[in-house]
Amino acid sequence: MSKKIFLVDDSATMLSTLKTSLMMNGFEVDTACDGVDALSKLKAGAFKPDLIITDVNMPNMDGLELIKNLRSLPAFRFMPILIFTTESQSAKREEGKKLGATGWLVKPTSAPTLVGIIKEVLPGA
Amino acid sequence: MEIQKKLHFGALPSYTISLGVGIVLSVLAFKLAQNLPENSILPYATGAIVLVGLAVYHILFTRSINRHIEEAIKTQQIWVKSRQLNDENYRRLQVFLGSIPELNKLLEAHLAFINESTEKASLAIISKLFLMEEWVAQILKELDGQKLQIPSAILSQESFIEMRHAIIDILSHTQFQDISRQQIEVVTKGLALCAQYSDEVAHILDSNNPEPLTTPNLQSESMKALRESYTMEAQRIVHFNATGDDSALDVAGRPAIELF
Repeated sequence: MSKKIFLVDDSATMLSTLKTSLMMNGFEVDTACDGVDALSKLKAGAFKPDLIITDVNMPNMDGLELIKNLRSLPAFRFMPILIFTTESQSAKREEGKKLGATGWLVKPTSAPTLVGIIKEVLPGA
Repeated sequence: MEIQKKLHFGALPSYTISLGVGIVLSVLAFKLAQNLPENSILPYATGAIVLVGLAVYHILFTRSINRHIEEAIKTQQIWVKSRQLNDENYRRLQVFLGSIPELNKLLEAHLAFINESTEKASLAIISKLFLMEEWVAQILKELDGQKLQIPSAILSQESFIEMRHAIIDILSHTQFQDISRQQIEVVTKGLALCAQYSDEVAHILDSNNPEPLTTPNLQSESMKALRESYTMEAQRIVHFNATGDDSALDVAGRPAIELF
């Protein structure tokens, strides 16, 4: 059974290329365009991901705020969440770590590298 | 001066890489053209042309932004140093203040253009890829039905899948577009802060009111954070690799990928 990944990014280009790339590697993928959209879709529960990958800088609700909200919900308390962002400042990383992010990936990252990290986070994927 | 250097440096690798991606895609399109029917290569060639066009546009646009920023910083430095405005500096301040709303509108318009164009090009390529996969499967089925075999090096499901992976990998370089987009957002935020600061300074000077400034100035932590955000990690690494100067690198020297 294929693993499910939920992508959150405000760039439609990023979402479409990442989604295609991950689907070609056998993952099931759903997407959201910002933190508010993500929270609403994840709470609705139609798509139950094994992993969430989120950008940081997004309108309405940023990635760090999204993690904070998700970690307060029992269903997402222990779910792996990777941050995939252009942001590389140590302070932001520490904040992400403190809020419960599983890892931090600085863009740009090649598709094979990203898939390798996903497989590391999701054994058996 | 240090700020100006950083801004120049920040712009260079980004558009160089954009141009590089465009060129790589063009080369790939020509390579594919050697093995595939002419009409099937059209989406890749179109995508390549669009990306090269975007890269050239990006070069011109980034230079234009940098010129505006340098002018703004120069103006700000003049009145921070002199602590008083003569007629010429006051005129420059007024011109600068007046240009910010227009400049921000221009930035937003260009931002929308970059987003839409890149999105359109990458979505077109992806959708054509899926259509092409169906087309390859159908051709192979028909050839199989007619007991005809063509060398797998020329056309096979496997070779197509391999090629598709290569194209998607190249498309993933549109992540650089995301970096450019966020840089423009940072510039817009910085300009808004400059305008707020300058407005307050002008107001105090006009009214001879000795009240202290409440807006953070250009040496503040807020502006420092904006400057750091403008130059992304990828560009700092390129700079470090080219010059050996590690002053712009993350002080903690953290890797690009880190699992907590």
